[in-house]
Amino acid sequence: MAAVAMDSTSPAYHGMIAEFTDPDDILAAARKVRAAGYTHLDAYTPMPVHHLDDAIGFKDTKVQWTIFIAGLLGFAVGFGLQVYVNSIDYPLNVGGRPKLSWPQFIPVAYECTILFAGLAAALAMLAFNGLPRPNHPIFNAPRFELATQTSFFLCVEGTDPNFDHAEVKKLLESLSPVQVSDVFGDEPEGH
Amino acid sequence: MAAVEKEEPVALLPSSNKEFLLGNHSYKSIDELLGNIVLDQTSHGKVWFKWLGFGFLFVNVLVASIAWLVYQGIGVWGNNQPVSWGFDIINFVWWIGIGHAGTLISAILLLLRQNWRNSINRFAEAMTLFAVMCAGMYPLLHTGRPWVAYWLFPYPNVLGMWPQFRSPLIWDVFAVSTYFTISIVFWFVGLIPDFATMRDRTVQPAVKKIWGLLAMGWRGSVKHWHRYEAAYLILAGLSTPLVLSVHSIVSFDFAVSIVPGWNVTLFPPYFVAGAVFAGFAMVITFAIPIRKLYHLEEVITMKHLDWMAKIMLATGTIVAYGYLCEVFYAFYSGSRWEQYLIHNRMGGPYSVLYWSLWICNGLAPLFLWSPKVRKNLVALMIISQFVSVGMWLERFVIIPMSLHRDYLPSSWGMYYPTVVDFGMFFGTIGFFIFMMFLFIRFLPMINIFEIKDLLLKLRHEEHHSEADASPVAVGGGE
Amino acid sequence: MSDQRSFNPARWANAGALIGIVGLVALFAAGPGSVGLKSTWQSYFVGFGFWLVVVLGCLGLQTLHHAVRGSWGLGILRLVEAGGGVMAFAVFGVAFAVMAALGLPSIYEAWAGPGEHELHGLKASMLTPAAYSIRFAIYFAIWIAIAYKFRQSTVKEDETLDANLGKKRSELGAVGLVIYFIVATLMVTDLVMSLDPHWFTTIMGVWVAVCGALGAFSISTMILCYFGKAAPFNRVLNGSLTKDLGNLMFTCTMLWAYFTLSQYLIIWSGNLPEFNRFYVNRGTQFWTLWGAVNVLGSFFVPWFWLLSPRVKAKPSMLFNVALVILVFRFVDWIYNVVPFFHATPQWTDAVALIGFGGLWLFAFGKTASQASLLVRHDQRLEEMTQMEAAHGHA
Repeated sequence: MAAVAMDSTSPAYHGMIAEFTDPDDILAAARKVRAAGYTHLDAYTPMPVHHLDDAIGFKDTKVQWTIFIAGLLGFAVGFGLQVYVNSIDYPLNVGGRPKLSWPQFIPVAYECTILFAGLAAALAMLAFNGLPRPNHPIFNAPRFELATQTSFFLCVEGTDPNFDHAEVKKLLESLSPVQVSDVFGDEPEGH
Repeated sequence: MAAVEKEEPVALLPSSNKEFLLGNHSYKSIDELLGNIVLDQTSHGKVWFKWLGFGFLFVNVLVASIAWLVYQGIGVWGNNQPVSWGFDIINFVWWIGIGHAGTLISAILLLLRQNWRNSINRFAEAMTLFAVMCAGMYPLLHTGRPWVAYWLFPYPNVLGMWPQFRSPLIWDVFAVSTYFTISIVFWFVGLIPDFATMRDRTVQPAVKKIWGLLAMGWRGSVKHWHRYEAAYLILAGLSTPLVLSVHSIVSFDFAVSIVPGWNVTLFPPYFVAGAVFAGFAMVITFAIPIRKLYHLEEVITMKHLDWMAKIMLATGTIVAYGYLCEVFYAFYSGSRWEQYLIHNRMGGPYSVLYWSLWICNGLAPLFLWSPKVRKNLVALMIISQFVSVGMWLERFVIIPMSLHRDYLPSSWGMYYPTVVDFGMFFGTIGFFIFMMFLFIRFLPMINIFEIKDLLLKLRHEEHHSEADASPVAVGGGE
Repeated sequence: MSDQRSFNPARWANAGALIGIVGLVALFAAGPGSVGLKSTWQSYFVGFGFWLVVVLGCLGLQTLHHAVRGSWGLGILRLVEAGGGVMAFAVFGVAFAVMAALGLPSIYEAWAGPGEHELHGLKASMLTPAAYSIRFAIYFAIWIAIAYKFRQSTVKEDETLDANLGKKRSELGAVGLVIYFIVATLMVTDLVMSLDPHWFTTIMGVWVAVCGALGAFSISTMILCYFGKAAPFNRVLNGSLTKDLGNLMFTCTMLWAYFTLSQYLIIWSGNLPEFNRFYVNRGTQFWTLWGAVNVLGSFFVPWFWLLSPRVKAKPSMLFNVALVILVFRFVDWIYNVVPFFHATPQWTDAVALIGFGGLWLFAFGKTASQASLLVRHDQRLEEMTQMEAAHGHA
């Protein structure tokens, strides 16, 4: 195939992918590749495949913590705003209620908590995922348009300390994939 | 399939996936069935145009009503002292309530690990957005000067003016705007992977660019899915109490005041139940014709409708419990104002509406106890209409009927809506239909990747059950 | 292994009987001399009411489980059947009869005490000792009927494995939920609200249902987690069950806060004398502080704790959360009930709480020892546990 044009030591080399059509196959394959000692792995699937993240050894709770902190911040901002506005900057007597009518400040503070946390959920997910990112080397992989439709791709990245082109190829081919190919990113200068 | 009904494997509530996705589907056939509604623009027949046109007609009525209102002032509406809240607030509460079902279907059912939500959540979330848009118009226009509506938000200004945070009306501003924002975020996050699917399936380069822009470079990396699922689940976890809080705050508009019949501590949960009740009625109203129109019977199955009917029954029962509590406690309280309120509802000038409310919300849902009725599409459709009307009547009973006769008999009065009131009401219904049909045509109305997930779960389930079950074809190439 | 504690309900029944008898004898032996007979009856009421709500909660969870057939209920079904079974209702029915015969004038002074009562209309005819007792007799009859029906059906299905029984229970459960809520609303109106007949709040029916559910969930979760390493509970205790129970307690905690805050906010904002007297009476320094601690322990602590997935995955940690929830059920109950009687809680309240706890334990242990601790007819949880074990190291 076209992979002979460049070799795996080229700076544009991204990695080697194997294509599967069954989520259980890619799960088994990922576990084997991981067991063989490779760590720089990624997989591309049309829908979330459970345990696949464990299989490639990936776990990240940054999103959860960001949301939690944003929620606390939202409550503080919401409550603080009302105290500042209605109790400090421009105190109003409404129906003889105390200046610091905390029970009546809860609804807005609550809404602010949800608003901050909800926005943080979406933004943190995108930011930690490095999105939006219109271009990525993996899009050059053959048949990759199927990664959002019917196929499941496992990628051993070239940055892996144990990466050896021949061995990786042998390993991936032994997992009975539909196809195995090399993936190259776009060349920085010209093509 | 096996003849004997088996005990169903469950998460928090029982449900077998196989009843929620029928037919012999593969990932490819799902892409085709669901994606092509959008990709193949020729698939929409005349029916689509008829409904869009119908909606558009009433959008014009809406525009005319609003124009006249803005030109003349809110005197063109029927509300005036003592009934200063009329159709505007009734319809606001009605629409917000309808929106809640969308969020609940998405959020609570996700938290309860109910996979059947996958087929209807996108569609229901879109309903939420459009319903909240309809709802938002009313208070905005009721301010009288909608062009300075931004005064509602707290920002430092030369007027030296701040909102008054002890007022439930300002709570509404925060609740509804937060609700709208989070609903859009939830909806959009859910759409990202489907945008990517559409991007990869489209052939026309210009359209591909649009999908590509929306997909933001989604490539389905397992690392992305990992964070995506965490964020999506938490968004669901946030949306559930959000729905509760939004309708509770709507109920506070009434409950924190001292009007008889309003200062009721049960209002928040009872309003929330009513909202879900009306919302599910609306989801059923749309789901039944659309599944037929777009041949989605295998994805939106009878079991879905059965579950939705059951939820409608449960929330309807809570609503009826609320009505009974109102009557019982009015008499238990010994308060003459509360007691007069009930007398006035049952025998006053608007009593017809009160008894209609009982027929629509107390009586009609009782038929849903019967499994046969829940399987009958015509009956379901009719009951849903009763519920929609009933929930509208409930707000009429609560709002004008409490205001028109309160503490002081010398200031009693009657409330009659005007043509403009009706114009806006039917106008928003038209707007809702118009938006829904646009959505159906131009965005994937059923969550593609989640249906694939459902298919995978279904297959695992069949693996675990006995071997004679016919295997479901899964795979891409074909 | 040394940490394999096994659950022996028959021994609990004996211990419970002992605690109950000693507690109640102590209450009536030392109470009248120390705090007076009237206060002793009021303490009796505090203890009785608290555990009656727990018994009701157990019945409520059974009804809910049968109605929706969720697998979360399978691990605790026998426990809530024991906690809210015929025996429990019978024991509390007797305790109620004693109270109705001797204690009403001390407890419901405003309408059962000596002298004239200023009540009108429906309330005047509703709130008399006779009408009150008759209504409770009806409530107990309904509860016992429902509890009997469920228990009989699950035991029978364990023998016959007839799946139709499960279907029947599901139908009964749906109707039962409706009945349950209506009866609970009327019951709490009689039991608690009528302590001050000039005050009312409409949210109390759902509030008491959630309080009961929290009590029942916390106790059964504690038992399940504490004895989870030994048979029989080791067969079902897995990560997904503790997660479900944790999430359900989390939800109930939020609902409790939602109802409590709604009521407070609405009454605080309306500030009408017929409503606000409830909080005005609790406006003393002591009760304000008590209320603040209550909100902290009933909502904030369990809520933040249960946010963490790790807590819900580990039985020993979930046990601690459930314990906090249960302890704060006492605190919440005292906040809601005792100020109707006194400016501060009495020491006798604690004795009555322990005494009735013993009686409940007796009924619980007795019923629990009469059938297997896990239902045999429904194996979903055990299948899930086996599947998890099989997949765990794949």
